[in-house]
Amino acid sequence: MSKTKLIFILVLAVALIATFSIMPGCTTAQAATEKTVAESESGYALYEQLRGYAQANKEWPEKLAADYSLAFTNIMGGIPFCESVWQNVQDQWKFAGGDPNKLYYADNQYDATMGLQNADILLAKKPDVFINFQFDSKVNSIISNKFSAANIPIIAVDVPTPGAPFMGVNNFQVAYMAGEKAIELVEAAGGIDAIDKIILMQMPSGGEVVMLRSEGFYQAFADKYGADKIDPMTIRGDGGAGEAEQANQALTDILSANPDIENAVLTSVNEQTMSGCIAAVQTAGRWDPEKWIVVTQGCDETGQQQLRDGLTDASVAYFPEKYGEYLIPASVALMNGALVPPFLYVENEVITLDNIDEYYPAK
Amino acid sequence: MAETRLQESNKERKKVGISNTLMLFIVLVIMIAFFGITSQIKFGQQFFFSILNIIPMLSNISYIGIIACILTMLLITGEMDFSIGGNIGLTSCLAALLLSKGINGVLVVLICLAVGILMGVFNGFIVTRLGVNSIIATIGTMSIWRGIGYTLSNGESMLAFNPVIDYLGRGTIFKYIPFPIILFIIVIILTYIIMNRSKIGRRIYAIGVNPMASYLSGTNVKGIKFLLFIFCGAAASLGGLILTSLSAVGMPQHGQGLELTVVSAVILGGTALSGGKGQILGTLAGVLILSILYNGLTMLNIMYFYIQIIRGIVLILVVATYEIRQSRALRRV
Repeated sequence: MSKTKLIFILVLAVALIATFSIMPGCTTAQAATEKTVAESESGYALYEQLRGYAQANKEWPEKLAADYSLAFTNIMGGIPFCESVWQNVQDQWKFAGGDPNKLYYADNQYDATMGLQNADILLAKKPDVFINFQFDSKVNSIISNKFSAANIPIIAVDVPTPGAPFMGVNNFQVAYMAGEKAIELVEAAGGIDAIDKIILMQMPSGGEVVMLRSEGFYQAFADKYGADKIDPMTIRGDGGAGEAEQANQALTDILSANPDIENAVLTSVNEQTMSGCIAAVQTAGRWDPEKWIVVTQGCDETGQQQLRDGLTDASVAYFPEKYGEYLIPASVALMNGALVPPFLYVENEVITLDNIDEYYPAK
Repeated sequence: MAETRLQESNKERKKVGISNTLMLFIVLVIMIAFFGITSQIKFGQQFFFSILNIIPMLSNISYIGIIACILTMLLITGEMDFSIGGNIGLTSCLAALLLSKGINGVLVVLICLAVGILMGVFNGFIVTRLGVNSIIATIGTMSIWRGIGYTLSNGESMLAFNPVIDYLGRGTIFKYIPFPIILFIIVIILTYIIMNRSKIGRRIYAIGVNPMASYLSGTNVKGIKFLLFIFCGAAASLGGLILTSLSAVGMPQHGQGLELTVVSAVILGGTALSGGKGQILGTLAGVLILSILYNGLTMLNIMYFYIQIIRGIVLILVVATYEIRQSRALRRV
């Protein structure tokens, strides 16, 4: 081979290598490889990246939601917790570059029949992702069937939906946190022997996962004092579907059946049911903040007010005003064909009168 | 002489009734056109007229419509049944409970309908034999039925999957037509024939206009009312079974507040609470208007609170229009 030919072949090879390395396809392939490596490390790289954008609470650097539609059903419009969730979903959707006209909304009004009807209406709009915030876990199975048939992914909020990633509280963990706080208050009040009853206002209609929201509270007491001591003291009430009226009735019945209760520990699944419970104790003429240890969950606007008014001693905050920071990144990740963790748990904090201003400054 | 007056009054009632019903269907057509156009403009796509919207909407209407048609007949006699919501809750829990015990689906349907008939018998007995006002009696039984539902289900919802129950609410005929819609159409036809083409229909109207005169003319007033309470119980149970099928769940909360929706639809359709006046086709229009209004407004992303306000305004406007037309007609006479 002549020298000229050899030089020509070498130059051609260098030119080819240079051309391929500059071509966008090759760069993407490299980036994709990097992304795949990153995904294989964390499993949910795109979701985590978007979650980072959402936590910054400003417009995302990329408008990844621009071409998509999202449907959201609210469990009960008009109550502070749900309004905070919905507001944050709207804000984050805008930050992600989503078109407000393509964010479809319906209000389930704590009514499973309405929840079904709304799911049908939203299904007709063929959204790219459906966020289901509906109170009855069993009714969610038929909703899940319908959306699966249409190949529309679902994200479940606070109440599980079969086959869908779950976003909300780690029910057992928050209940356990509430239980630990209550134990602290019990000890400060003279110990468990000074307590007549531990009342758990539950929500069986929310299914087993939501039941953990109060059973975790019980478990904290059982771990501390032993089940033999705690079991006879524990009363479980059915607070209905999570509304004040039903919880009020349930606690009224408990108080009537237990006229000897003076010192009690009380917890419930959310702030609305707690407001109903407190009203029941007051109506029965047995309200004494010194004798009732009240630890609740949610810490929405109602909960904050109850804390400031001295009606409750502590509340485990769910930060509903941050739900959109999980829901929108998860939705956009699904829209872009990426994986989403099966459980997206919110961070929680025990809020008392001592630290409430740190998280929720007085208005 | 009295018979001639009743015939004249019937002719007058029919004349006003038909035109009121026509007016309702015109409102319905305008509403449908409005939602179709606005949905197209707002989203750039036709969501409202899509099969994906219409079929489930009609399925959801069917159980309300079935109960509304039967309730129309009862209301025309001047009686009321507020226990339908409680009946639905009880039936739903009973069906789920029986299915969980492994009982055959057909048998479950028959037992639930029989229990519905018994609920109707109980209501009919209290109202016609004990003479208790039907509003008070059925508010009482509404609470009893729902309470039994809570007791049966222990306050929890129960899964209710079974081929027979599934078919009742979610089955289709010719691939697209949902079975509950067929049931609804059958009920419309039957009740229409009874009310417009049969002797018993004329007696039902006559009881509503003047029960004493009907009694004196030989009509078994109490018997007919008793029968209509039984029909109402059976229709509400059928509605409960359809709802259980649609949700695949039996729960005591099913049908909560439904009595008001059904009564609103019947009143919207032109039936007078005082009795003696009403049309099955009017009720059909009333059911369609209320359901399409909810569907269309939700489709347009309107908040639920505004939907409630709009529904209330529509109900008042339509009923006020009836009253104005009625008083004008009377002045002419």
